Amino acid sequence: MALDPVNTQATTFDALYRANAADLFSYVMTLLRDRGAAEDATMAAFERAFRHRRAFDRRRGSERAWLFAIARNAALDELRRRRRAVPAAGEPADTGEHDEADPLVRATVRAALAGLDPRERELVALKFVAGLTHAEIAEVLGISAGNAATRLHRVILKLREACHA
Amino acid sequence: MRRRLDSAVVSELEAVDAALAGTRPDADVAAIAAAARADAIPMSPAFAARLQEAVRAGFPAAAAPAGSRGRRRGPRALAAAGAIAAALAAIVVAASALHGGGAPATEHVASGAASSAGTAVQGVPIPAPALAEAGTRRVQRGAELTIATPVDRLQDTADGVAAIADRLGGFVARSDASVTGNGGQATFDLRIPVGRLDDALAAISRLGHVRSRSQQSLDVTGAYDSARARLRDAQAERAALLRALAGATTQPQIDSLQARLRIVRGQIAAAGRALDSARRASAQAQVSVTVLGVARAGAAAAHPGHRWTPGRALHDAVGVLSALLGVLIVALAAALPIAALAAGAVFAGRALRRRRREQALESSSPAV
Repeated sequence: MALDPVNTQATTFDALYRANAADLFSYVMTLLRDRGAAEDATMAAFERAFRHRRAFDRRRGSERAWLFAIARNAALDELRRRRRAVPAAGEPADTGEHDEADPLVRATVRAALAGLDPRERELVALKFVAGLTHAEIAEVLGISAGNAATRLHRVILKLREACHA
Repeated sequence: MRRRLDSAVVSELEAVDAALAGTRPDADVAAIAAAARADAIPMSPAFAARLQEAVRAGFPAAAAPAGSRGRRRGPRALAAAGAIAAALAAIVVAASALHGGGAPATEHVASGAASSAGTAVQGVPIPAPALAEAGTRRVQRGAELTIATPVDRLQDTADGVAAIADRLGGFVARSDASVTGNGGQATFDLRIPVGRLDDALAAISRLGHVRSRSQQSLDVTGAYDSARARLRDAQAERAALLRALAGATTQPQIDSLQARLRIVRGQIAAAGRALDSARRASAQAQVSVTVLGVARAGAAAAHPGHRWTPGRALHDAVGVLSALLGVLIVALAAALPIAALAAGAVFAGRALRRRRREQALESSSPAV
Protein backbone atom coordinates (compact mmCIF):
# COMPACT_ATOMS: atom_id res chain seq x y z
CA MET A 1 0.00 0.00 0.00
CA ALA A 2 1.44 3.41 -0.91
CA LEU A 3 1.67 6.28 1.51
CA ASP A 4 -1.36 8.13 0.29
CA PRO A 5 -3.11 9.19 -2.89
CA VAL A 6 -1.01 11.35 -5.16
CA ASN A 7 -2.77 14.62 -4.37
CA THR A 8 -1.99 14.32 -0.68
CA GLN A 9 1.47 12.83 -0.92
CA ALA A 10 3.27 16.16 -0.73
CA THR A 11 1.46 17.05 2.47
CA THR A 12 2.08 13.62 3.94
CA PHE A 13 5.75 13.72 3.10
CA ASP A 14 6.05 17.19 4.59
CA ALA A 15 4.57 15.84 7.82
CA LEU A 16 7.00 12.93 7.75
CA TYR A 17 9.85 15.35 7.25
CA ARG A 18 8.78 17.63 10.11
CA ALA A 19 8.34 14.74 12.51
CA ASN A 20 11.69 13.15 11.84
CA ALA A 21 14.19 15.62 10.40
CA ALA A 22 15.84 16.57 13.69
CA ASP A 23 16.16 13.02 15.02
CA LEU A 24 17.27 11.76 11.65
CA PHE A 25 20.04 14.30 11.40
CA SER A 26 21.25 13.46 14.90
CA TYR A 27 21.29 9.77 14.05
CA VAL A 28 23.18 10.35 10.81
CA MET A 29 25.56 12.60 12.68
CA THR A 30 26.18 9.78 15.14
CA LEU A 31 27.19 7.53 12.27
CA LEU A 32 29.28 10.03 10.31
CA ARG A 33 30.57 12.41 12.97
CA ASP A 34 31.06 15.03 10.32
CA ARG A 35 28.58 17.84 9.88
CA GLY A 36 29.10 18.29 6.15
CA ALA A 37 28.83 14.57 5.49
CA ALA A 38 25.79 14.30 7.74
CA GLU A 39 24.08 17.15 5.91
CA ASP A 40 24.76 15.52 2.53
CA ALA A 41 23.53 12.14 3.77
CA THR A 42 20.42 13.62 5.37
CA MET A 43 19.58 15.50 2.19
CA ALA A 44 20.16 12.36 0.13
CA ALA A 45 18.01 10.32 2.50
CA PHE A 46 15.05 12.64 2.25
CA GLU A 47 15.44 12.86 -1.50
CA ARG A 48 15.50 9.05 -1.83
CA ALA A 49 12.51 8.76 0.44
CA PHE A 50 10.65 11.39 -1.56
CA ARG A 51 11.38 9.70 -4.88
CA HIS A 52 10.47 6.26 -3.59
CA ARG A 53 7.55 7.26 -1.37
CA ARG A 54 5.14 5.30 -3.58
CA ALA A 55 7.14 2.12 -2.93
CA PHE A 56 6.59 2.34 0.82
CA ASP A 57 4.52 -0.55 2.13
CA ARG A 58 2.99 0.05 5.53
CA ARG A 59 2.60 -3.69 6.05
CA ARG A 60 6.37 -4.04 6.15
CA GLY A 61 6.90 -1.51 8.93
CA SER A 62 6.48 2.04 10.06
CA GLU A 63 7.25 5.09 7.96
CA ARG A 64 9.70 6.21 10.59
CA ALA A 65 11.70 2.98 10.45
CA TRP A 66 11.58 3.06 6.64
CA LEU A 67 12.96 6.60 6.64
CA PHE A 68 15.71 5.78 9.14
CA ALA A 69 16.72 2.73 7.09
CA ILE A 70 17.08 4.91 4.03
CA ALA A 71 19.09 7.41 6.05
CA ARG A 72 21.33 4.66 7.38
CA ASN A 73 22.11 3.44 3.88
CA ALA A 74 22.77 6.98 2.71
CA ALA A 75 25.02 7.64 5.70
CA LEU A 76 27.01 4.46 5.24
CA ASP A 77 27.37 5.16 1.52
CA GLU A 78 28.63 8.60 2.45
CA LEU A 79 30.96 7.04 5.00
CA ARG A 80 32.37 4.72 2.36
CA ARG A 81 32.90 7.59 -0.03
CA ARG A 82 34.57 9.87 2.37
CA ARG A 83 36.48 7.24 4.32
CA ARG A 84 36.99 9.66 7.08
CA ALA A 85 35.31 10.44 10.33
CA VAL A 86 36.51 13.80 11.44
CA PRO A 87 34.90 15.02 14.67
CA ALA A 88 33.01 18.24 14.08
CA ALA A 89 34.67 21.29 15.54
CA GLY A 90 33.32 22.27 18.93
CA GLU A 91 30.94 19.29 19.04
CA PRO A 92 29.27 17.47 20.56
CA ALA A 93 27.45 20.30 22.20
CA ASP A 94 25.51 19.82 25.37
CA THR A 95 21.99 20.96 24.64
CA GLY A 96 21.27 21.46 28.31
CA GLU A 97 18.32 19.06 28.27
CA HIS A 98 17.58 16.58 31.08
CA ASP A 99 19.63 18.46 33.59
CA GLU A 100 17.70 16.83 36.39
CA ALA A 101 20.23 13.95 36.35
CA ASP A 102 23.21 13.97 38.67
CA PRO A 103 25.99 15.85 36.82
CA LEU A 104 28.53 13.31 37.99
CA VAL A 105 26.43 10.39 36.78
CA ARG A 106 25.77 12.16 33.51
CA ALA A 107 29.46 12.79 32.97
CA THR A 108 30.16 9.14 33.70
CA VAL A 109 27.50 7.98 31.28
CA ARG A 110 28.74 10.33 28.59
CA ALA A 111 32.20 8.89 29.02
CA ALA A 112 30.73 5.40 28.70
CA LEU A 113 28.85 6.47 25.57
CA ALA A 114 32.05 7.79 24.09
CA GLY A 115 33.67 4.45 24.70
CA LEU A 116 31.06 2.49 22.76
CA ASP A 117 31.89 1.04 19.39
CA PRO A 118 30.11 2.47 16.32
CA ARG A 119 27.41 -0.21 16.27
CA GLU A 120 26.59 0.33 19.94
CA ARG A 121 26.51 4.10 19.51
CA GLU A 122 24.12 3.60 16.63
CA LEU A 123 21.79 1.56 18.84
CA VAL A 124 21.85 4.22 21.53
CA ALA A 125 21.05 6.93 19.00
CA LEU A 126 18.17 4.97 17.56
CA LYS A 127 16.73 4.10 20.96
CA PHE A 128 17.42 7.07 23.22
CA VAL A 129 17.56 9.93 20.73
CA ALA A 130 15.20 8.85 17.96
CA GLY A 131 12.98 6.84 20.30
CA LEU A 132 12.49 3.85 17.98
CA THR A 133 11.09 0.60 19.27
CA HIS A 134 13.31 -2.43 19.08
CA ALA A 135 11.17 -3.74 16.20
CA GLU A 136 11.77 -0.51 14.32
CA ILE A 137 15.46 -0.68 15.12
CA ALA A 138 15.54 -4.18 13.69
CA GLU A 139 13.93 -2.89 10.52
CA VAL A 140 16.44 -0.07 10.24
CA LEU A 141 19.42 -2.36 10.75
CA GLY A 142 18.04 -5.12 8.57
CA ILE A 143 18.20 -7.73 11.33
CA SER A 144 15.63 -9.73 13.24
CA ALA A 145 13.69 -8.16 16.07
CA GLY A 146 15.15 -10.69 18.50
CA ASN A 147 18.67 -9.86 17.41
CA ALA A 148 17.98 -6.15 17.75
CA ALA A 149 16.52 -6.65 21.22
CA THR A 150 19.49 -8.71 22.36
CA ARG A 151 21.99 -6.17 21.08
CA LEU A 152 20.07 -3.34 22.67
CA HIS A 153 19.90 -5.20 25.95
CA ARG A 154 23.67 -5.68 26.00
CA VAL A 155 24.31 -1.99 25.40
CA ILE A 156 21.85 -0.96 28.08
CA LEU A 157 23.47 -3.32 30.56
CA LYS A 158 26.84 -1.86 29.75
CA LEU A 159 25.55 1.67 30.28
CA ARG A 160 23.74 0.73 33.50
CA GLU A 161 27.01 -0.58 34.83
CA ALA A 162 28.60 2.73 33.90
CA CYS A 163 25.90 4.54 35.87
CA HIS A 164 26.89 2.64 39.01
CA ALA A 165 30.62 2.67 38.48
CA MET B 1 13.12 -18.95 12.36
CA ARG B 2 11.73 -16.84 15.16
CA ARG B 3 13.35 -17.25 18.52
CA ARG B 4 11.71 -16.49 21.82
CA LEU B 5 13.39 -13.64 23.59
CA ASP B 6 14.94 -14.20 26.96
CA SER B 7 12.64 -12.92 29.73
CA ALA B 8 15.42 -10.72 31.11
CA VAL B 9 15.81 -9.04 27.76
CA VAL B 10 12.08 -8.53 27.45
CA SER B 11 11.70 -7.07 30.92
CA GLU B 12 14.72 -4.83 30.42
CA LEU B 13 13.37 -3.43 27.18
CA GLU B 14 9.92 -2.94 28.70
CA ALA B 15 11.50 -1.09 31.59
CA VAL B 16 13.45 1.14 29.23
CA ASP B 17 10.35 1.87 27.14
CA ALA B 18 8.35 2.67 30.27
CA ALA B 19 11.09 4.95 31.59
CA LEU B 20 11.38 6.78 28.28
CA ALA B 21 7.61 7.19 28.22
CA GLY B 22 7.68 8.55 31.77
CA THR B 23 5.39 5.91 33.17
CA ARG B 24 7.97 4.15 35.31
CA PRO B 25 10.90 6.23 36.67
CA ASP B 26 14.34 4.73 36.10
CA ALA B 27 17.31 6.87 37.07
CA ASP B 28 19.75 4.91 34.92
CA VAL B 29 17.63 5.18 31.81
CA ALA B 30 17.04 8.85 32.48
CA ALA B 31 20.79 9.42 32.78
CA ILE B 32 21.53 7.45 29.63
CA ALA B 33 18.83 9.27 27.69
CA ALA B 34 20.01 12.63 28.98
CA ALA B 35 23.60 11.89 28.03
CA ALA B 36 22.64 10.57 24.61
CA ARG B 37 20.47 13.57 23.89
CA ALA B 38 23.10 15.91 25.16
CA ASP B 39 25.55 14.35 22.73
CA ALA B 40 23.08 14.56 19.86
CA ILE B 41 24.12 17.26 17.46
CA PRO B 42 21.26 19.31 16.02
CA MET B 43 20.94 20.58 12.49
CA SER B 44 22.33 24.00 11.82
CA PRO B 45 19.63 26.58 11.05
CA ALA B 46 21.09 27.09 7.59
CA PHE B 47 20.92 23.39 6.70
CA ALA B 48 17.47 23.06 8.24
CA ALA B 49 16.26 25.87 6.00
CA ARG B 50 17.92 24.35 2.95
CA LEU B 51 16.44 20.93 3.65
CA GLN B 52 12.99 22.33 4.24
CA GLU B 53 13.17 24.25 0.98
CA ALA B 54 14.23 21.10 -0.86
CA VAL B 55 11.31 19.17 0.64
CA ARG B 56 8.92 21.96 -0.24
CA ALA B 57 10.25 22.11 -3.83
CA GLY B 58 10.02 18.34 -4.22
CA PHE B 59 13.75 17.79 -4.57
CA PRO B 60 14.45 19.19 -8.03
CA ALA B 61 17.29 17.57 -9.97
CA ALA B 62 19.71 20.34 -9.02
CA ALA B 63 19.29 19.53 -5.34
CA ALA B 64 20.50 15.97 -5.81
CA PRO B 65 24.07 15.31 -4.70
CA ALA B 66 26.40 14.88 -7.62
CA GLY B 67 26.40 11.34 -8.92
CA SER B 68 23.53 10.08 -6.81
CA ARG B 69 21.17 9.93 -9.78
CA GLY B 70 23.58 7.83 -11.82
CA ARG B 71 24.23 5.51 -8.92
CA ARG B 72 20.53 5.02 -8.39
CA ARG B 73 19.83 4.28 -12.02
CA GLY B 74 22.77 1.96 -12.49
CA PRO B 75 21.29 -1.25 -11.05
CA ARG B 76 17.96 -0.62 -12.75
CA ALA B 77 19.61 -0.06 -16.10
CA LEU B 78 21.67 -3.20 -15.54
CA ALA B 79 18.59 -5.20 -14.64
CA ALA B 80 16.72 -3.88 -17.67
CA ALA B 81 19.65 -4.69 -19.93
CA GLY B 82 19.83 -8.17 -18.44
CA ALA B 83 16.15 -8.74 -18.97
CA ILE B 84 16.37 -7.60 -22.59
CA ALA B 85 19.42 -9.79 -23.17
CA ALA B 86 17.62 -12.76 -21.64
CA ALA B 87 14.58 -12.18 -23.80
CA LEU B 88 16.69 -11.86 -26.94
CA ALA B 89 18.65 -14.99 -26.11
CA ALA B 90 15.43 -16.89 -25.50
CA ILE B 91 14.01 -15.75 -28.82
CA VAL B 92 17.19 -16.67 -30.67
CA VAL B 93 17.36 -20.08 -29.04
CA ALA B 94 13.68 -20.73 -29.69
CA ALA B 95 13.97 -19.63 -33.30
CA SER B 96 17.05 -21.74 -33.92
CA ALA B 97 15.39 -24.73 -32.26
CA LEU B 98 12.36 -24.36 -34.47
CA HIS B 99 14.41 -23.80 -37.59
CA GLY B 100 17.02 -26.47 -37.09
CA GLY B 101 15.77 -28.98 -34.58
CA GLY B 102 12.06 -29.20 -35.09
CA ALA B 103 11.60 -28.76 -38.79
CA PRO B 104 9.06 -31.15 -40.24
CA ALA B 105 10.09 -33.46 -43.05
CA THR B 106 8.39 -31.39 -45.69
CA GLU B 107 10.41 -28.26 -44.90
CA HIS B 108 13.64 -30.23 -44.89
CA VAL B 109 12.80 -31.74 -48.23
CA ALA B 110 11.78 -28.42 -49.68
CA SER B 111 15.14 -26.89 -48.87
CA GLY B 112 16.91 -29.93 -50.23
CA ALA B 113 14.96 -29.83 -53.43
CA ALA B 114 16.08 -26.32 -54.12
CA SER B 115 19.71 -27.42 -54.27
CA SER B 116 19.36 -31.01 -55.22
CA ALA B 117 21.00 -30.60 -58.61
CA GLY B 118 24.51 -30.74 -57.23
CA THR B 119 24.28 -31.94 -53.65
CA ALA B 120 23.84 -35.37 -52.19
CA VAL B 121 21.64 -36.00 -49.19
CA GLN B 122 24.61 -36.63 -46.92
CA GLY B 123 26.10 -33.32 -47.97
CA VAL B 124 28.78 -34.89 -50.17
CA PRO B 125 29.14 -33.02 -53.42
CA ILE B 126 28.18 -35.08 -56.41
CA PRO B 127 28.49 -34.28 -60.06
CA ALA B 128 25.56 -32.76 -61.84
CA PRO B 129 23.97 -35.06 -64.41
CA ALA B 130 25.97 -33.55 -67.24
CA LEU B 131 29.21 -34.08 -65.37
CA ALA B 132 28.29 -37.64 -64.55
CA GLU B 133 28.32 -38.48 -68.23
CA ALA B 134 31.34 -36.45 -69.17
CA GLY B 135 35.03 -37.26 -68.84
CA THR B 136 36.21 -40.38 -67.08
CA ARG B 137 34.02 -40.15 -63.98
CA ARG B 138 30.93 -42.36 -63.85
CA VAL B 139 28.46 -41.87 -61.03
CA GLN B 140 25.49 -44.05 -60.25
CA ARG B 141 22.62 -42.00 -58.84
CA GLY B 142 19.60 -43.09 -56.90
CA ALA B 143 16.71 -41.56 -55.00
CA GLU B 144 13.98 -42.59 -52.59
CA LEU B 145 10.73 -40.69 -52.37
CA THR B 146 7.66 -41.18 -50.21
CA ILE B 147 4.52 -39.19 -50.91
CA ALA B 148 1.11 -39.23 -49.29
CA THR B 149 -2.17 -38.88 -51.11
CA PRO B 150 -5.81 -39.43 -50.19
CA VAL B 151 -6.54 -43.11 -50.39
CA ASP B 152 -9.26 -42.54 -53.01
CA ARG B 153 -6.64 -40.97 -55.26
CA LEU B 154 -4.05 -43.71 -54.75
CA GLN B 155 -4.69 -45.30 -58.15
CA ASP B 156 -4.52 -41.97 -59.99
CA THR B 157 -1.30 -41.09 -58.23
CA ALA B 158 0.22 -44.48 -59.03
CA ASP B 159 -0.70 -44.01 -62.65
CA GLY B 160 0.87 -40.59 -62.53
CA VAL B 161 4.16 -42.04 -61.29
CA ALA B 162 4.32 -44.52 -64.15
CA ALA B 163 3.38 -41.81 -66.65
CA ILE B 164 6.16 -39.56 -65.42
CA ALA B 165 8.74 -42.34 -65.80
CA ASP B 166 7.55 -42.98 -69.31
CA ARG B 167 7.41 -39.31 -70.27
CA LEU B 168 11.00 -38.71 -69.13
CA GLY B 169 12.43 -41.64 -71.02
CA GLY B 170 12.53 -44.07 -68.15
CA PHE B 171 10.54 -47.12 -67.23
CA VAL B 172 8.98 -48.96 -64.32
CA ALA B 173 11.25 -51.87 -63.37
CA ARG B 174 8.93 -53.11 -60.63
CA SER B 175 5.68 -51.99 -59.01
CA ASP B 176 3.45 -53.20 -56.24
CA ALA B 177 0.17 -51.80 -54.87
CA SER B 178 -2.12 -52.72 -52.00
CA VAL B 179 -5.20 -51.14 -50.39
CA THR B 180 -6.30 -52.06 -46.88
CA GLY B 181 -9.17 -50.53 -44.88
CA ASN B 182 -8.62 -46.81 -44.55
CA GLY B 183 -5.26 -46.78 -46.27
CA GLY B 184 -3.04 -48.38 -48.83
CA GLN B 185 0.25 -47.99 -50.58
CA ALA B 186 1.98 -48.45 -53.90
CA THR B 187 5.71 -48.92 -54.43
CA PHE B 188 7.64 -48.39 -57.62
CA ASP B 189 11.18 -49.14 -58.72
CA LEU B 190 11.88 -46.74 -61.56
CA ARG B 191 14.77 -46.31 -63.96
CA ILE B 192 15.13 -42.73 -65.05
CA PRO B 193 17.82 -41.27 -67.33
CA VAL B 194 20.31 -39.55 -65.07
CA GLY B 195 19.87 -36.26 -66.83
CA ARG B 196 16.14 -36.26 -66.05
CA LEU B 197 16.34 -37.42 -62.45
CA ASP B 198 15.65 -34.03 -60.91
CA ASP B 199 12.76 -33.43 -63.28
CA ALA B 200 11.32 -36.80 -62.31
CA LEU B 201 11.62 -36.15 -58.58
CA ALA B 202 10.03 -32.73 -58.94
CA ALA B 203 7.15 -34.09 -60.99
CA ILE B 204 6.49 -37.00 -58.64
CA SER B 205 6.64 -34.68 -55.63
CA ARG B 206 3.80 -32.66 -57.08
CA LEU B 207 1.54 -35.71 -57.08
CA GLY B 208 1.08 -35.65 -53.29
CA HIS B 209 2.39 -34.51 -49.95
CA VAL B 210 6.07 -35.40 -49.68
CA ARG B 211 6.76 -37.34 -46.50
CA SER B 212 10.43 -38.04 -47.15
CA ARG B 213 12.93 -37.70 -49.89
CA SER B 214 16.56 -38.67 -50.18
CA GLN B 215 19.17 -39.04 -52.90
CA GLN B 216 22.32 -41.11 -53.09
CA SER B 217 25.29 -41.20 -55.41
CA LEU B 218 27.90 -43.91 -55.94
CA ASP B 219 31.07 -43.54 -57.96
CA VAL B 220 31.27 -46.58 -60.33
CA THR B 221 34.21 -45.30 -62.34
CA GLY B 222 36.50 -48.00 -60.96
CA ALA B 223 34.14 -50.83 -61.86
CA TYR B 224 33.59 -49.40 -65.35
CA ASP B 225 37.30 -48.93 -66.05
CA SER B 226 38.09 -52.38 -64.71
CA ALA B 227 35.49 -54.03 -66.98
CA ARG B 228 36.70 -52.08 -69.97
CA ALA B 229 40.35 -53.05 -69.31
CA ARG B 230 39.38 -56.71 -68.97
CA LEU B 231 37.48 -56.53 -72.22
CA ARG B 232 40.38 -54.85 -74.00
CA ASP B 233 42.88 -57.42 -72.69
CA ALA B 234 40.62 -60.31 -73.62
CA GLN B 235 40.08 -58.92 -77.12
CA ALA B 236 43.82 -58.48 -77.59
CA GLU B 237 44.45 -62.03 -76.42
CA ARG B 238 41.79 -63.36 -78.80
CA ALA B 239 43.45 -61.51 -81.71
CA ALA B 240 46.81 -63.01 -80.78
CA LEU B 241 45.27 -66.45 -80.48
CA LEU B 242 43.64 -66.11 -83.88
CA ARG B 243 46.94 -65.11 -85.39
CA ALA B 244 48.65 -68.07 -83.72
CA LEU B 245 45.88 -70.38 -84.91
CA ALA B 246 46.42 -69.22 -88.47
CA GLY B 247 50.08 -70.23 -88.23
CA ALA B 248 49.53 -73.50 -86.40
CA THR B 249 50.78 -76.59 -88.24
CA THR B 250 50.07 -79.48 -85.91
CA GLN B 251 46.75 -80.77 -84.65
CA PRO B 252 47.72 -80.55 -80.96
CA GLN B 253 48.64 -76.88 -81.46
CA ILE B 254 45.34 -76.19 -83.15
CA ASP B 255 43.37 -77.95 -80.41
CA SER B 256 45.19 -76.11 -77.68
CA LEU B 257 44.69 -72.73 -79.32
CA GLN B 258 41.00 -73.36 -79.94
CA ALA B 259 40.47 -74.38 -76.31
CA ARG B 260 42.13 -71.22 -75.18
CA LEU B 261 40.02 -69.23 -77.65
CA ARG B 262 36.84 -70.61 -76.08
CA ILE B 263 37.95 -69.45 -72.66
CA VAL B 264 38.88 -66.03 -73.93
CA ARG B 265 35.57 -65.65 -75.72
CA GLY B 266 33.83 -66.34 -72.38
CA GLN B 267 35.97 -63.71 -70.73
CA ILE B 268 35.12 -61.20 -73.45
CA ALA B 269 31.41 -61.84 -73.00
CA ALA B 270 31.63 -61.47 -69.22
CA ALA B 271 33.67 -58.27 -69.48
CA GLY B 272 31.21 -56.92 -72.01
CA ARG B 273 28.27 -57.61 -69.70
CA ALA B 274 30.05 -55.95 -66.79
CA LEU B 275 30.84 -52.96 -68.95
CA ASP B 276 27.23 -52.68 -70.10
CA SER B 277 26.03 -52.97 -66.55
CA ALA B 278 28.35 -50.21 -65.37
CA ARG B 279 27.34 -48.04 -68.28
CA ARG B 280 23.66 -48.54 -67.61
CA ALA B 281 24.15 -47.89 -63.91
CA SER B 282 25.70 -44.54 -64.61
CA ALA B 283 23.25 -43.66 -67.34
CA GLN B 284 20.05 -44.49 -65.48
CA ALA B 285 19.14 -43.52 -61.97
CA GLN B 286 17.29 -45.96 -59.76
CA VAL B 287 14.32 -44.30 -58.12
CA SER B 288 12.24 -45.95 -55.40
CA VAL B 289 8.83 -44.35 -54.98
CA THR B 290 6.35 -45.15 -52.23
CA VAL B 291 2.87 -43.70 -52.51
CA LEU B 292 0.93 -43.81 -49.24
CA GLY B 293 -2.83 -43.67 -49.40
CA VAL B 294 -4.09 -41.97 -46.24
CA ALA B 295 -7.50 -41.17 -44.85
CA ARG B 296 -9.08 -38.06 -46.31
CA ALA B 297 -8.88 -35.89 -43.17
CA GLY B 298 -5.17 -36.54 -42.78
CA ALA B 299 -4.35 -35.70 -46.34
CA ALA B 300 -6.59 -32.71 -46.79
CA ALA B 301 -4.38 -30.16 -45.13
CA ALA B 302 -1.27 -31.61 -46.68
CA HIS B 303 -2.59 -31.37 -50.17
CA PRO B 304 -3.38 -27.91 -51.42
CA GLY B 305 -6.72 -27.47 -53.03
CA HIS B 306 -8.60 -29.79 -50.69
CA ARG B 307 -11.53 -28.56 -48.60
CA TRP B 308 -10.79 -26.80 -45.34
CA THR B 309 -13.40 -28.06 -42.89
CA PRO B 310 -14.12 -26.96 -39.29
CA GLY B 311 -12.54 -30.20 -38.12
CA ARG B 312 -9.48 -29.42 -40.18
CA ALA B 313 -9.44 -25.90 -38.73
CA LEU B 314 -9.62 -27.30 -35.21
CA HIS B 315 -6.80 -29.68 -36.03
CA ASP B 316 -4.74 -26.78 -37.37
CA ALA B 317 -5.51 -24.67 -34.32
CA VAL B 318 -4.31 -27.43 -32.03
CA GLY B 319 -1.19 -27.72 -34.13
CA VAL B 320 -0.51 -23.99 -33.93
CA LEU B 321 -1.08 -23.97 -30.18
CA SER B 322 1.22 -26.95 -29.77
CA ALA B 323 3.92 -25.17 -31.75
CA LEU B 324 3.47 -22.03 -29.65
CA LEU B 325 3.69 -24.08 -26.48
CA GLY B 326 6.89 -25.60 -27.77
CA VAL B 327 8.30 -22.17 -28.47
CA LEU B 328 7.36 -21.02 -24.99
CA ILE B 329 8.96 -24.05 -23.38
CA VAL B 330 12.16 -23.60 -25.33
CA ALA B 331 12.18 -19.88 -24.58
CA LEU B 332 11.57 -20.59 -20.92
CA ALA B 333 14.35 -23.14 -20.87
CA ALA B 334 16.70 -20.54 -22.27
CA ALA B 335 15.45 -17.65 -20.18
CA LEU B 336 15.35 -19.39 -16.81
CA PRO B 337 19.10 -19.93 -16.39
CA ILE B 338 19.78 -16.41 -17.56
CA ALA B 339 17.17 -15.00 -15.22
CA ALA B 340 18.57 -17.10 -12.40
CA LEU B 341 22.05 -15.77 -13.11
CA ALA B 342 20.74 -12.21 -13.26
CA ALA B 343 18.84 -12.67 -10.00
CA GLY B 344 21.92 -14.17 -8.41
CA ALA B 345 24.02 -11.26 -9.60
CA VAL B 346 21.52 -8.75 -8.21
CA PHE B 347 21.34 -10.63 -4.91
CA ALA B 348 25.13 -10.87 -4.67
CA GLY B 349 25.44 -7.20 -5.56
CA ARG B 350 23.05 -6.21 -2.78
CA ALA B 351 24.78 -8.47 -0.30
CA LEU B 352 28.16 -7.03 -1.25
CA ARG B 353 26.89 -3.48 -0.96
CA ARG B 354 25.36 -4.24 2.43
CA ARG B 355 28.57 -5.85 3.61
CA ARG B 356 30.62 -2.87 2.48
CA ARG B 357 28.27 -0.52 4.30
CA GLU B 358 28.63 -2.51 7.49
CA GLN B 359 32.39 -2.59 7.06
CA ALA B 360 32.38 1.17 6.62
CA LEU B 361 30.53 1.51 9.93
CA GLU B 362 32.88 -0.85 11.73
CA SER B 363 35.95 0.92 10.43
CA SER B 364 34.68 4.35 11.41
CA SER B 365 36.63 6.06 14.17
CA PRO B 366 35.64 5.62 17.80
CA ALA B 367 33.85 8.32 19.63
CA VAL B 368 35.81 11.19 21.14
